[in-house]
Amino acid sequence: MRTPPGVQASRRTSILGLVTIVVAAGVVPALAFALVYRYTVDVPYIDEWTFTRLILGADRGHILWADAFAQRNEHRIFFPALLILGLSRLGGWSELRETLFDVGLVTLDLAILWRMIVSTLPARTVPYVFLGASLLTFSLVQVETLLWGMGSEWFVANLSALFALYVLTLRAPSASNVVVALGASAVSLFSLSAGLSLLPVGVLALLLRDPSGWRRASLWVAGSIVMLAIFLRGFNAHPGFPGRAGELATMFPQYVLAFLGGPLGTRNGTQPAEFLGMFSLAVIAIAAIRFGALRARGRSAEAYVPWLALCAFVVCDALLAAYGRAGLGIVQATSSRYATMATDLWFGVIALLVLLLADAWKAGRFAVRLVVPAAAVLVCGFAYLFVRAQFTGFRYIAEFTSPIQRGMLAVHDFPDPTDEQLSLLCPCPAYLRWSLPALAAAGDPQFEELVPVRSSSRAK
Amino acid sequence: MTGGDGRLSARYLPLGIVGVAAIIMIAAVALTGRVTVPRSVAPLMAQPPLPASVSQLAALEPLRGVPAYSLDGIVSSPSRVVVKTAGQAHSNVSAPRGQTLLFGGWAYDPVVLEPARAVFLEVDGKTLIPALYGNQRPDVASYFGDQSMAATGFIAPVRAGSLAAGPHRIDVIILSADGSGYYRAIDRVVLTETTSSRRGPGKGNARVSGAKGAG
Repeated sequence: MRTPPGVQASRRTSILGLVTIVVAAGVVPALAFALVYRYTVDVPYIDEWTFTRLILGADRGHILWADAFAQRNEHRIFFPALLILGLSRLGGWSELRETLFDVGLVTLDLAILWRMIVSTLPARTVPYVFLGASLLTFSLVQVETLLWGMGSEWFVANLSALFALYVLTLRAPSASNVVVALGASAVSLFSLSAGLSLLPVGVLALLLRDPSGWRRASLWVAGSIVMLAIFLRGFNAHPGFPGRAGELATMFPQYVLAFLGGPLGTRNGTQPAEFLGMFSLAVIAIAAIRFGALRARGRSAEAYVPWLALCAFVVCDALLAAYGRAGLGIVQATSSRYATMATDLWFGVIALLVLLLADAWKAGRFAVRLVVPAAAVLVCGFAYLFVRAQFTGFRYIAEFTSPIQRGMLAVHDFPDPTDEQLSLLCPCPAYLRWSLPALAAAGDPQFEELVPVRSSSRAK
Repeated sequence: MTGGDGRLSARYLPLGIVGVAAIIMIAAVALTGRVTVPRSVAPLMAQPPLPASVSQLAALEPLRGVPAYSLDGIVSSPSRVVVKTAGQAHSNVSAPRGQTLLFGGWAYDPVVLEPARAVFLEVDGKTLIPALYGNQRPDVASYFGDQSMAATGFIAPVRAGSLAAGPHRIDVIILSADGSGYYRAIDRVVLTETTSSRRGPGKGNARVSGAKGAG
């Protein structure tokens, strides 16, 4: 029997969608795994040195809990420290094991993003938005977090933040789910200070979803106060953070915009990133107005809630980072490691654009004529920026492929390592102590060129 | 994505993704379980400190026996590794003055048949240069049919410009696995500095010739 043409088209769409989903959920993580396996910096690198005391303690049979909970810059990296200790028990301390494991953590992000996408966006767009989310999730802009063992901090914090927002905005509104989200927020907060942003955004998410849900919001606030009290107990302001008031006044807005646009605005200074930051804020503002208008008319606007909350989380994180670090220069806002959190914003922006365009599509024939070219321009623009960002990532990777340079740079970055710490890097500390000044004095141009690259973007 | 199939995939895809993540995490542990980069700290800490000079080396016991080693590569810059000429003479390897010659090879303790405690180059009997020891050498492990021989590679830098013109003697010193004594390699490398250079006057090249691997 002949199948009607419409059914065939639908089936083709369905098969294409399925293939897209498989690529997004399977092929992209597999490629990321292969890349990380090939290029991981398999030595303790920069901030990773701070874990050596913990590893050494565990090696001697006792875990230094206070050390695991200790403040590092503006962070408390408790849960990633536990993860690193746990992984180090499986055959010694290996940064490669950590980074490969991190790929698994990032893959878990996809499960949450899938639930968010499939619950809110038009069915036809789901596979393609999911593919975009997958590509962004594993974007090579994050080479620092993907290829260094210390990336665990970012990925644990990000995964738990995504989960908290998913529970708050898409799971059944109940006190028990608020408690679950508080637990996830605690993991995020005690992995990286970015988790602080979840505390205000959680209230916002609960109230956006249900303006009358004050009891759940109160529960969230109470939980947040407890977590904040624990976080701030014995917390010392980092010297130099925040910067001077004058620096903050001039650099703050630029820093925030560059932070937001960092994952896609990767070249030609910080201006492209700042422009993209402005674009993202404009999309969020338009979506927020649309959300308010739908609510005012008594129409369903639930689909906007998770994405607005996600964007608010990243914007809040950018404000916090700018408050603490704007004095260090705007270039730092586009650091590779910041892209891990800022990428969340772009999931939100893309989803909000899809929702806005879908609403416009329904508005009538005139709107349809605008929606199609607008969507085409956006898709092409994002694809161009994404591909360019990947080249930036590859270029960065290329600078870290020499194992000797990697080892030397690791030592160079840590001014006064002990023999114990150096012996984690290689079994001959004397060699490292001897060879670094010799190499620096030798004036190897590649060695010298790499130093300023790291110096400008080393602090987390 | 609409209809029954869509609903099914919407429900079960997260499980699939969690499965992919679990496979990745298991693979992370399985793959790195075989990485034998020496990171075990305790045995290193329990051992006496390494000699930092020729005089400190002299305090250790010179061990008799044939050192198990090979000096199988010399390269003119740390960024351009590695010239591998296993078991053959080195010749025509040069580096501009001021740069670093990297000597690469492998070595192990021939008595206990374990990786050495450390490897040094002794230049002209005066300067002791510690080598980066413990690099992976799967070819050595394969040759001996013993995986414990994998982490026996070394790389040692010698600044070409720090040596005056003329022949130089470079001995390979292999500390025994327990660090109590050392083997001195019988074969030597002769380093001669030449003045012929395309870089102009005052920037001569160091040239290595006449090395013979013993492995």
